[in-house]
Amino acid sequence: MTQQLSGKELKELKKKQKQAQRQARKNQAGNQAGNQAGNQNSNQNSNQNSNQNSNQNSNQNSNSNSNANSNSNSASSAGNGSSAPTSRDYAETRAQMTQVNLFAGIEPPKAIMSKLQVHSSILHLALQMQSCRIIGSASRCKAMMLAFQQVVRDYDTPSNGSFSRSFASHLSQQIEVLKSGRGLSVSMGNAIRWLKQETSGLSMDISDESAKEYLVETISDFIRDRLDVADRIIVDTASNHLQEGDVVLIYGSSKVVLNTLIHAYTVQKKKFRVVIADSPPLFEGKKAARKLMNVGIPVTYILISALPYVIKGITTFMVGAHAMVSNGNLYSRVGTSMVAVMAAARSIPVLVLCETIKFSDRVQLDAFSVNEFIPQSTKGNKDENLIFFDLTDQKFISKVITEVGALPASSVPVILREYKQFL
Amino acid sequence: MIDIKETYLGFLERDNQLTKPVAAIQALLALLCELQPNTSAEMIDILQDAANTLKSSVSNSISLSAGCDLFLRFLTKNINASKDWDACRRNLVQNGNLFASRALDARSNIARIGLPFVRDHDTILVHGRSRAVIQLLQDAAMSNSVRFRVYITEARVCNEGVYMANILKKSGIPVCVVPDCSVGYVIDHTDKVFIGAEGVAESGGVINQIGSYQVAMLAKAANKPVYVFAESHKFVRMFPVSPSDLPGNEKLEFTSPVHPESIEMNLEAWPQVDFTPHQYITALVTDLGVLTPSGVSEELIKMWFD
Amino acid sequence: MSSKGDINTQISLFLTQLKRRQISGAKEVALATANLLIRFISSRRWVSTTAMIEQIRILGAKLVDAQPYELTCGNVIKRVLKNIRTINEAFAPKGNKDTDLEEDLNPSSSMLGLLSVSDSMNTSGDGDSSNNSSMANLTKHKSNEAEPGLTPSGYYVSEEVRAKARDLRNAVIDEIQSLIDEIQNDDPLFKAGIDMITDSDLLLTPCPSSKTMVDFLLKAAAKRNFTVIVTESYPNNVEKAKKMVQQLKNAGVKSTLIPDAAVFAVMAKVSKVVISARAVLANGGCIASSGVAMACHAAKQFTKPVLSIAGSYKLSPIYPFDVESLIEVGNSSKVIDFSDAELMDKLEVINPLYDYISPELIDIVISSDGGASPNFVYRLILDNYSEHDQHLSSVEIGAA
Repeated sequence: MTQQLSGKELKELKKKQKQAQRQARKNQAGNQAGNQAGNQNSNQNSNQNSNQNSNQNSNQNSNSNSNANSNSNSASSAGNGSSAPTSRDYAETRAQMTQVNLFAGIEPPKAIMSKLQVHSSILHLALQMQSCRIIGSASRCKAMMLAFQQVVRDYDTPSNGSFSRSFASHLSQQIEVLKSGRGLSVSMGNAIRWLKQETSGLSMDISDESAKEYLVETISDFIRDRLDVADRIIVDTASNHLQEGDVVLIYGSSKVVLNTLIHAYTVQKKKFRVVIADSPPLFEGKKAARKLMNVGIPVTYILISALPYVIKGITTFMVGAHAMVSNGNLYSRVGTSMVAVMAAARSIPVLVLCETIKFSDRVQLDAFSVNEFIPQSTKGNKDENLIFFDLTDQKFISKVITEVGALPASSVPVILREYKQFL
Repeated sequence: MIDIKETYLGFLERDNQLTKPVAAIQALLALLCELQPNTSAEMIDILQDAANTLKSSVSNSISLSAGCDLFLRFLTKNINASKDWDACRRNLVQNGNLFASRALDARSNIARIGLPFVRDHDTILVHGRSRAVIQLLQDAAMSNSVRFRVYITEARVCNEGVYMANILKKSGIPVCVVPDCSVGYVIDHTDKVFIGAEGVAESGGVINQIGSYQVAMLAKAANKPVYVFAESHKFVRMFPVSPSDLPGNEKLEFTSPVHPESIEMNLEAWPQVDFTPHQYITALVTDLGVLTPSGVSEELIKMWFD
Repeated sequence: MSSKGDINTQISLFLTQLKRRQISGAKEVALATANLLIRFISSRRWVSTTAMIEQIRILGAKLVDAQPYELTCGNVIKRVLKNIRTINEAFAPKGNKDTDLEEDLNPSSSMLGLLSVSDSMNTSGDGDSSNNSSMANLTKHKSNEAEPGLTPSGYYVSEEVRAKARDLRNAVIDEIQSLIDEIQNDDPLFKAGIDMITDSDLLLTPCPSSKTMVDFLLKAAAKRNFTVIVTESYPNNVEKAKKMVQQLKNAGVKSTLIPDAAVFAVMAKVSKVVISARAVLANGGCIASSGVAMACHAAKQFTKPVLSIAGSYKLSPIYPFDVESLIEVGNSSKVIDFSDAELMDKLEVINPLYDYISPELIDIVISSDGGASPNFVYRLILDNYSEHDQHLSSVEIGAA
């Protein structure tokens, strides 16, 4: 609603997107001879492009559009009894003047850039991430690593180069595309850094085949150790925190949190209740509710604003992380900080379940400096303030449970230092 | 002339329901009975002296000083207002017993006003012995409409926790006596904290049996409400800002190498009261209604400055 | 007398409207209640104020029971009762010499009530004091003067008394009329509120459903240049939130909508939080729409001031002993719509409509009488309501 009259900024943005899309289409035209999946993919992509294009078209006509808008605006404001605008120019400038840019520093989502050498599985993944079909820091990381395995397998060393060097630049191109769909998560960044190290460490002497084999295998190990096993350890530790008769509050739909609850309920046979706090526009809590109900856990579902009403009986707040930043703060789904504050005010323990792959060495103070916007395609809600994450101060966090043990939030930098070689 | 201190202590001894301020008022009244002053100024002087003697001769005098101040203030006001000071004196003397009964009424009024503070399934933490709190809890238990449990701190220095627990137990209230050092252990399982008061300071802070301060602080840290139950005649015109501002709280001694004897706790000599600043208090339930701490200051201001 | 049947129909109509929520919203209910009271009082001939107070209390209990969550209904009735009591004091025949004397002697601090001695004390002290409220007992002059004035006039009806009753009725109706004017006139409230807002403020309001809030911001915008962040208030007030932002934009006020979950994230930039209370309670806390408590908690974390805006008719003499009972729970289908029907069946879904905001989360309560600290609200309430009218019915919310 607030974007009905597009600001100058927005126009510029669309222009950029359009250019990027043209570029992408050109590239794709040259990339026709892909495999079947690739075909599907490029179809999807071109579909999207044409969608975006029609958007763009309507935007080009924005003059006539805003005419209509300002007309209807003036009509409604006259109906409201406030002063009617004298001209449509006035209405337009006023609309610009009344715009508020709370998150001015955050880049809005862009169209996916496609390049010549991009592997189809990467394109596919970029699309899925952009539309939030793959969501969650750990899941995205895992999906990316699996796609990279595919990239490695399908990679042919150019005749004039060595594998390790040319693959590194090939990989960078893949990452570039992946990034254009949605910013990389901290876990993905950490995994990429690791993979680049592995690639550059490859001996020049080994054959391409054995290098590829090695990379595929070591990626599998990575997924197993840093994600799957880590999750399992966290689930084991965290489920011991649950007690008979507990009322556990969760926010959003963290995979490791849900697994913990399910483990405690089905394997450890503990009886407890779960309160799911949810918020628009993603409504991840509904997904969580389905999973928990399927194993029979009694669930109370509320929206975040109803929290004060139900908080009295709650015994634990368990939350997943997008990242733990090195000053000990938790970077997680927007709203987490609000819930954590409410819980801490009632001295309800706040447990963060977080794999060390999500530890970031950046420091962060608030949700304005680093953030992402929720892609608007997921819901019809047109508003500029749909941010993805917020920052929970470490003073509200009782404990961070990782695969290397439970630690206070202030010890995040210690882990980063001590385990640097493994992270 | 009668000995004011003996009279005061006599009143306290005779009636264990009597609060210190009321006993002080009774003692001053007894003195007033005997007096045959020639002028109102003389009368006031004698009473003022007696009040001062009383305050200085009794340790832990805050509570009784509230009674003395109230009495003297009332007297001076009335004498200034009406010409016939002698009639005023006679009136007071004749109605001596009324005050005591009215003070008791104040307590039952507190119990009535405070009754809704006890909710079903509550767990209440009580520190120290307070007659107002006892009466409230007994009334609540008697009403049969709420079921609640009470943690009672041992209140070791005054040693009145067990005594209080027995009284409540007789009324059929489930009680659990906890050592003073365990308040932090139980505070998370507590819904609210009830304390009485020896005196209520101008800020709305409370002078009460020692240990109240730490209980209130822990409650504040755990976000549990702290309710103080006190009669309005305990409002006292003083404004301590820290526990060491209380009169009569001597400096505590450290061991020194020149005295080689082993350490012994001497609870007798230990301060009996401490001061809980107003920011730790959610509300005061008084016979004047439920007041915020600033409401106390209003009453005192009205009494002294009009 | 002729309109007696008429007034009964009107009362039962109003009761149904309250129950069915055909009349809702703090102000609407307050006005409707006041108007009904005028009709009620003018429909009968009153022999005494005692009877009048008695009848209004009975009516009030009925209304309050019909819709316990609309606290302003009870507030208006209690305000009128207080007015009647004050009028009665003015109308009551001046007491004998003793009461006059007592009045002179009587201390203004209720504390001194413990010691106040006079002839009246001896006579009434034993009789009433035990069952009377403490306040009546201790602040003798109020109840003592009221009671003797009331009771005799209730029993013998002389021509003089009749005339007096007529005057009384008119006086009471005048009072209600001015109360209605007060409720309708938000200007003093807004003026006090605007004083608290400065240019370049970034305001956050979690109360898009409040008409007072919209009016206030529009009014303030004429004098100050500020920016408004409105929370979405999902699920109950999303449409109103969008409308509010649009209204503000139309008036040239910089404004934007944020999801409720982002309140904490943006709070660092906000300079003041403005909330509109549905009711202000005796301890200075208030009831407001769902989501407000969280915004206030967030504000507390960043030590941003929270201003609570509430017309005086929203001051309520109720003490929130039991917070849950003050909060109405709404339709859960708003939380999970029918597209998720299979969730609806198995989940417990809760949709509270209001929040209780404890006084320590609020910095200033702005009422028609100006701003006050929440811990001073008890005084405003003592000024506006009589101790005897704290509760109209035993099942009323917050009653013992």
